[in-house]
Amino acid sequence: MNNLKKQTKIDADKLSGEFYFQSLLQEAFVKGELSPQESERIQLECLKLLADCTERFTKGKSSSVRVEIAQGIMASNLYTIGLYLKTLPDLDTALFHIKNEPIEKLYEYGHSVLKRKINVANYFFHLVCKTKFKTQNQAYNITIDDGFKPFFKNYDINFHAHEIPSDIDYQLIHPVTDLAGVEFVISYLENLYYENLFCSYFDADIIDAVMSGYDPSYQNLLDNICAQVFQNALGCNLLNISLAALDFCPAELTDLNNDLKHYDQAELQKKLTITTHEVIATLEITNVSLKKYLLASLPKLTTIVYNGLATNTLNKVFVPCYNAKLKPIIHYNMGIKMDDKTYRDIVMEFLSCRYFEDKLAIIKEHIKTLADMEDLLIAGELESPEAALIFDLLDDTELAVLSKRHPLRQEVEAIDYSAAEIRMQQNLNTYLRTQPRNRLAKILKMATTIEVI
Amino acid sequence: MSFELMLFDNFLMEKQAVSEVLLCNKITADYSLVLSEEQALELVETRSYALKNFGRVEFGGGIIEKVILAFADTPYISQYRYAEFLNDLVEIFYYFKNETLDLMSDDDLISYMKKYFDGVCQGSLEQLKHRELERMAKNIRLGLDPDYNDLYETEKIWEDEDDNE
Repeated sequence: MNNLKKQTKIDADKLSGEFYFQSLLQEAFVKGELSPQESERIQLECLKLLADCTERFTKGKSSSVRVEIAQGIMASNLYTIGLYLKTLPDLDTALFHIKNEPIEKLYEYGHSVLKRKINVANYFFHLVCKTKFKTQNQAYNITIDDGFKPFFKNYDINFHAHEIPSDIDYQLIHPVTDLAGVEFVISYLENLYYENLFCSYFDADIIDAVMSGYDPSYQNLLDNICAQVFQNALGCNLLNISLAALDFCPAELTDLNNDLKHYDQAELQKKLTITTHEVIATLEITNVSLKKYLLASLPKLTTIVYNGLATNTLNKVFVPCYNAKLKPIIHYNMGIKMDDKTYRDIVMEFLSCRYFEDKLAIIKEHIKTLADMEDLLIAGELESPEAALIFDLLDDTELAVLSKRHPLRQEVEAIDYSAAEIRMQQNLNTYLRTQPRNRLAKILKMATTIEVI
Repeated sequence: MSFELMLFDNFLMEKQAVSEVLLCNKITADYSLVLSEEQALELVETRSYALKNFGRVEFGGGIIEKVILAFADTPYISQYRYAEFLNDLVEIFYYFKNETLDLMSDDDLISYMKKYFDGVCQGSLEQLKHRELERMAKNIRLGLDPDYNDLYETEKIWEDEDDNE
């Protein structure tokens, strides 16, 4: 009974994670835990610290700096102090330190914490790299391979500790909010590590099939991979089928829909919580943090499943894997090209023709394969109407092959192509646009199933 | 606690700055240049205004004393316009601190100002600001030598060509 602690009036939930020190001062002042004199002393000491840091920043060569530079340094200082205060056991201890320690000392302690935190970030980055799985998703690959390089190379703990010099595009199940600087990076990497860890229980090719089922062009999306894998794992568990394949057939999804449609949202969350525990047991997941991470995602996931049931789109929640075998592939041989000398002579003759009829005659006489036709269409310097008349000579399959090999490039990609190739792409695009809708759809559909050999 | 809310004890800081400026009188008196307390205060206020106007903050003594001591021996200034002249110089200094993207140290900028003022500008603050320092700032931004003068360089090339002929 003698050890009764005085309870602080400050509500910890009201404190900002990103601006911890500032919000703590503000709350303490509002709640009367900090007197006006103490508040003034702290502010003046912060100003003195800013002056010292600014002098270090300018290396003593300039007595003045632009306001935004000073603001940045000030934010960095306050962030560093906040970092130290967060390491203290409770708010009372933090307030005691604020009241009784010089701000400069708190900054020094924060600086030491910052250095340790960078090591922690390094540790988690190492774990993320170690558990990285093979995927075509660019955001995931680029974020891990290159996204953190600027951070580990350029992170400035002296003057820009609150900044995050990194290129992070990949979205997590639990986005990191209300954190800055090294804390943000640690939290992001930690979350990403748990996601990698969960995905490591499945085959990378299976994950790829799941994501391709989610969207065939998932490699260009910013969507989270682990979330979809987890959803499919839950779906498999609900259907009592093997988790390894993460796949469903339409009939199974219909059964699942019938099983779950009677649940309200609260019941559904309970059901999914039980299922999650079963998945954890089945996969023999031992990492406690990973378990918590998965369970924490259930409220969001429940809403997704609930909406899927309500809108009869459960196949968008528990997505069947993409099966390449289901798609008929047409292997198309472009044919053998004529020898270079003959080709050069034909092109010279073709370019020197005055009338288009003569050009058509050359094509009919000499061009026997699509490979040669393609070269001539590129080298022939054809106007759009002329090219259209040549395209008229080709059947749907040949047009599908050309449209697959020569899609109209965006301006960004156009730099990789010659002017002649771009002209041919434009001519083909113009021609296809003039075709009846049915024929165009047929050609474009065919283009997705053709494989040129 | 945003930066704007930080407590600046302006009165104390200004008082200290004024006394530092007045201390310079001991040196500048040899050149018959002296500031009254009122003029010193005005100069400190000009500094505050210029800093605010050009979006800068300053810690410590600042550059007023440096400017005063650097320009004390210039032949182009007399007691009659001394205070006004210093006010202009302080404003010019902070303006070009921004224009040179902070790539130039205080001492270097002041020495360039002095060099041009006493040299090609022959005591004209207008020429100093609108021609020489403008050119110097442009050179700094382009990564050239601060003294680089394309007009001068062109003339030199012509002269060299004439000599060769």
